[in-house]
Amino acid sequence: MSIQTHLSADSSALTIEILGRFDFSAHHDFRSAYIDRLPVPQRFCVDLAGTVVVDSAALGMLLLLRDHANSHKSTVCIMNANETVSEILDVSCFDRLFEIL
Amino acid sequence: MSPVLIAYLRYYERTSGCFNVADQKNIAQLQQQLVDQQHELDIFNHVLQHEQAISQKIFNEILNAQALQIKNLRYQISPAALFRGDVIMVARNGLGELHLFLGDFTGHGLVAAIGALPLKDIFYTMVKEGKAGYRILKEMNKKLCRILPKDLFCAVSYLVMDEKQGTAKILNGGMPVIRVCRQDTTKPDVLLTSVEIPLGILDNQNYEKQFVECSVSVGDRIFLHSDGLMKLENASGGRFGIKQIQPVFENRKDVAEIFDQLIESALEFSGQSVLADDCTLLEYTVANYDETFKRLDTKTQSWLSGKMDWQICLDLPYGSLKYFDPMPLIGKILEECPALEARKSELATIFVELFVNALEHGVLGLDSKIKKDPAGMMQFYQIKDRALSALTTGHIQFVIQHGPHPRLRRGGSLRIQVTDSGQGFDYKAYQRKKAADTHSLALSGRGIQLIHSLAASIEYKGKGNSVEVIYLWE
Repeated sequence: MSIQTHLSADSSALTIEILGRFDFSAHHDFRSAYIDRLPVPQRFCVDLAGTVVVDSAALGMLLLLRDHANSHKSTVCIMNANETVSEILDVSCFDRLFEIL
Repeated sequence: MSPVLIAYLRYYERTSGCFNVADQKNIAQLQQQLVDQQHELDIFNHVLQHEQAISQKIFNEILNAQALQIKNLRYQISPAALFRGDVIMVARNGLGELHLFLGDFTGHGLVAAIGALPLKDIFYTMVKEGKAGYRILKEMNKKLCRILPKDLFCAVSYLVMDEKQGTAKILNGGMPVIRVCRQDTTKPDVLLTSVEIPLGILDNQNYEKQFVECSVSVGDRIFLHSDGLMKLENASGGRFGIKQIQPVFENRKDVAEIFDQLIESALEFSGQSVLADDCTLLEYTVANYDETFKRLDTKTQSWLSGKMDWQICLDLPYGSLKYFDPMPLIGKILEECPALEARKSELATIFVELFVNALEHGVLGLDSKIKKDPAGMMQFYQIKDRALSALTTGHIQFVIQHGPHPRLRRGGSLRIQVTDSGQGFDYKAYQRKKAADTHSLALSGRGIQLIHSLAASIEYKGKGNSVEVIYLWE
């Protein structure tokens, strides 16, 4: 599992990529990717293209990111989830909490 | 010797050739440190395991053990399930409804189990009070949003079974598919997928419209299970999941065999002799209401189902008014009805307000105008005391009547009529004045406003010496 981040040229959008299993082991790295970043990006994108599987701990981490974004009036989107991951996001109705692309 | 130490020694040997006495002393000290630390870790681990075992036992006693003595409910739940976040709560209310809650908390251990305790209080209290399932979920959600950290939540399957009406109301909030399996194979099964986010994420959620209602017949079986059964792995890392579960339902010869088949399948798949801790499975069989429950319910049913029909008349002549406060007696009467007892403080507010008005303005004929400021309030109560002691005539009558709710199948309607022997007042003029003067900060008159906010209606009758309040509950 590894986390990669890309900041857009104007620093307004931060993309966080999770490669491999998105589970509890990602907790520290995932949070570090966004928590102290200044200025706070207006848009956070979580790219799950390389994510093999997510579990409930991962859903929790996404909720923490959402909470961080909300407190700074930024948005969060989740993209490129594969079929298995999409199903998990679906069951928890996460499309009501995140923009899912 | 520990592997770390061996590696260190080998490196040392390679780089410096040999050991002298000082080196040997160092090595011995390092060795001892490692042994001490290992020992500490062992003790720590032992204590932790011991504490977890105790907590587990306590949680089980509080939560799962008591609940599951329900006829027609079969379950597969490991004693350690709660520590994996799985919670079952089930209870029947006086309306003949069965409420079944299956929750799956994120996280493990104490964290997962602790969220369950406040839910237990909410569930059992509100079911007993005859509250609707969607209201109970709303309260649970509010509570979890308040106490859980942002990344923790609880997926939920909630079933309200009404065997009298032959309906099952089901809500799936983040759980695997809930199945209503027909005993009659000509009728299709009903599959309920998740339609709602789990509890503890968004505050102020409303669940009324998220419940799916389906009709059920005697012998139909409803299956609920937590995520564990989906995630169950075998030796080669494959998952049990929907691919293994679906066929058991689709290829069945009889609904009665599904439960055992599922367990057997899961055990075979995992290659273990016992199912993993979080493979929680519930099966509820729809029963024949008349045969099974009617006998049990008749005693408790009438109070909560709103069909209670009674009227009490309380007459207080002036002698009683001088020395006797009727409020405790009225409170006792209301206490006999669980639904009204649960709304004690609202009802007490209404009764006190009506009584005080009837006494002060009706019987004693006192004018609220004196109460225009705090000094006036003191003066008023002195005047009231004197007037009460000197009373030689007058009375107040309470008529309290209970009947069914005018619009709903549940709940009820309480009619409170208070009549005093006073002159009454021009209530039409009063109401006109009040309607025009909405921002008044007068110290008097707030009582009636309070009743307006608690009751469905308040109406003056006769010459204004009688007032009728209708209080609805559900």
